[in-house]
Amino acid sequence: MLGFSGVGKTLLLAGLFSRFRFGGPSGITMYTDDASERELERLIGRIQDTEDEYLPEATPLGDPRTWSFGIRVDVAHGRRADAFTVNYLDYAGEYAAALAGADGEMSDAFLAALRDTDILMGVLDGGDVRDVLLGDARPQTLVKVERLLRLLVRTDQRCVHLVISKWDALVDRDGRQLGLDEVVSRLEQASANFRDFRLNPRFSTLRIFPVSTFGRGFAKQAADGRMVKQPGARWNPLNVDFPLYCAIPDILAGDVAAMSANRSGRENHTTLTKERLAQVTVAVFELAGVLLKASGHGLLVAVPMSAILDRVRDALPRWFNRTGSPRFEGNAALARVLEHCYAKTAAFDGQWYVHPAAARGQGE
Amino acid sequence: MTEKAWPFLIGRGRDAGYRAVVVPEFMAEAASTNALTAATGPVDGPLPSGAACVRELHGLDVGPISVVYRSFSPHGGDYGLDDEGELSDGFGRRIRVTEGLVVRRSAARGAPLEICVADLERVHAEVAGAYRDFWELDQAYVRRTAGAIALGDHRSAAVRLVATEPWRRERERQPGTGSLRPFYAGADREAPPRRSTVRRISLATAAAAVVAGIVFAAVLLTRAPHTGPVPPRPRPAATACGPASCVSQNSDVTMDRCRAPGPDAGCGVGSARREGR
Repeated sequence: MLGFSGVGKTLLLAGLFSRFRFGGPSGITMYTDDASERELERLIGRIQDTEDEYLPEATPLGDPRTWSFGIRVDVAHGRRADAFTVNYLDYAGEYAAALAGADGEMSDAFLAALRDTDILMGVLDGGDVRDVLLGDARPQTLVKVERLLRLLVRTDQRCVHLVISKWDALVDRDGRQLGLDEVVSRLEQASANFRDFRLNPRFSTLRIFPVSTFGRGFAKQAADGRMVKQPGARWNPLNVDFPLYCAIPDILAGDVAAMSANRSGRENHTTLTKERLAQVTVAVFELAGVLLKASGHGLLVAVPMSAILDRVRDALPRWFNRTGSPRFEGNAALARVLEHCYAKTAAFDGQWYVHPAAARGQGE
Repeated sequence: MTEKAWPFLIGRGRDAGYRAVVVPEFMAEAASTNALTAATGPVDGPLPSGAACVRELHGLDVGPISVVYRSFSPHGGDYGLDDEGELSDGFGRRIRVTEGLVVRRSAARGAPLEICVADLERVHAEVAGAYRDFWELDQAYVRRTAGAIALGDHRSAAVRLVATEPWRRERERQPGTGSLRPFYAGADREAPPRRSTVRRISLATAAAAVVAGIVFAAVLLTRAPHTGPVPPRPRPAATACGPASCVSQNSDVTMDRCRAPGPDAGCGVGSARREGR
């Protein structure tokens, strides 16, 4: 999550972990080491306690912290298996701001960590966006929004999306919740640079996630800027899981696109090595029966690259319906998560905002 | 011999984000000040009363240094501000200020580092005026530098120093860190060449020659008509995961604060100097 101070990165972390604590029908859960679990549980407990005024402080300067989560799938009869690991980078937003041109110290550790991420989600502050849309913003606010977009343009990640945090704050003067299409359209009117960013061909499947870690009605902003929890309100984070669900198919799509771009001559040949591909992608290839064979000229793929993603999707039901393997192990867990990710991604693309518009409703 | 130390302060304003507000004059060059802010991040667990953290910093152009610091959530009164309540930023979040001093040596070597409560109070007095100006000027504030003070006011109690693991700059700073040059090296591209000794290059070349030979042999074999059993599928590089310990123990979740300096700590006009742009 790439965002400046105050956009809600730490809260998003808490909301994301909270969303995947209990599994639900899919059985997908997140787990971490005991110390991190204790910290996050304490954080979540204090956030949702409306009798406690506590909300997380700004993350102070210091080396970024990587929270490591295992994604595990629970199935019937007490069986479970690990699918993959997700690392969430938490850091002081000042480092991102300094990178974008604001005063402040740079951090080599932050730069290095950022460089190693597979997916970047630029986080726009919903409060800032609202101010821009309603004409209440200081000139510096739009500068801040555009600086974040510029940062995303400068990066080299294959998958880049936008998150608009504090979505519950995106209301007009009458208190009407704005729709995502409306927000995007009005942002484009207010900022030609936002429009240029969105139309940049590099962001061919840009998703804009409307996210509210507090959810609706849980907290209100006081006159001094403080968020005040409403007595008795229930903490119900909104859409915090979509960025994760959409990230996994994006990693696959990005890797296949990279392989296609690097292929040397033949349709199913690439100069990329397995080591250069994300671990999840390599595992999914096996899951779908796509053989990666090392040759003297790079990787030889058993099926044409253009068909790989279709093959992966087709393979998932076969995987679950196959007989003779009562074990529930890593690939089965990965298949389960992937199936869920495809379904959620399709739901998101149909309901929310993905660029270009033609991609809507078609899933990944 | 009287030991010298240089005060510093890290904090944020209402809108201006966390930054070094006062830095030792010998560290004013940006490459050193960002090490100061990186190394004085949150500590794991509560600090006992009357204690401060001590940490060594290595890999800096200025040589090894040690920082002694404590963090707290200040009230306006701590810095002589009109609003005496607890300070909060533009999002209503409580602010944390880190005050401390830098000595130009390793704390673990040579004579033991002796810091007294009065030393930290003097540091507070030295930087308080600068923070007050920062609070009022916010984004327009220009960072100041601080000269050395003499340690060893033994009229007060000694500060208990809680050592944290040494901080080391991971790699040498690249020219023009403001650029995203290393940032552009995405996963699909070749990583920038690392520095290497002649010996390493020689070894790598020899290894590459061996690997090339093996690959060449493999190509010859794969081109031959395949008559044997179907080869097994390659195993995925790694799909399973386990709980991994965090890279850093830093956390803003568990960190407790040192006690704020009392009103008698002195909030006189600081002697920190404005740093020219």
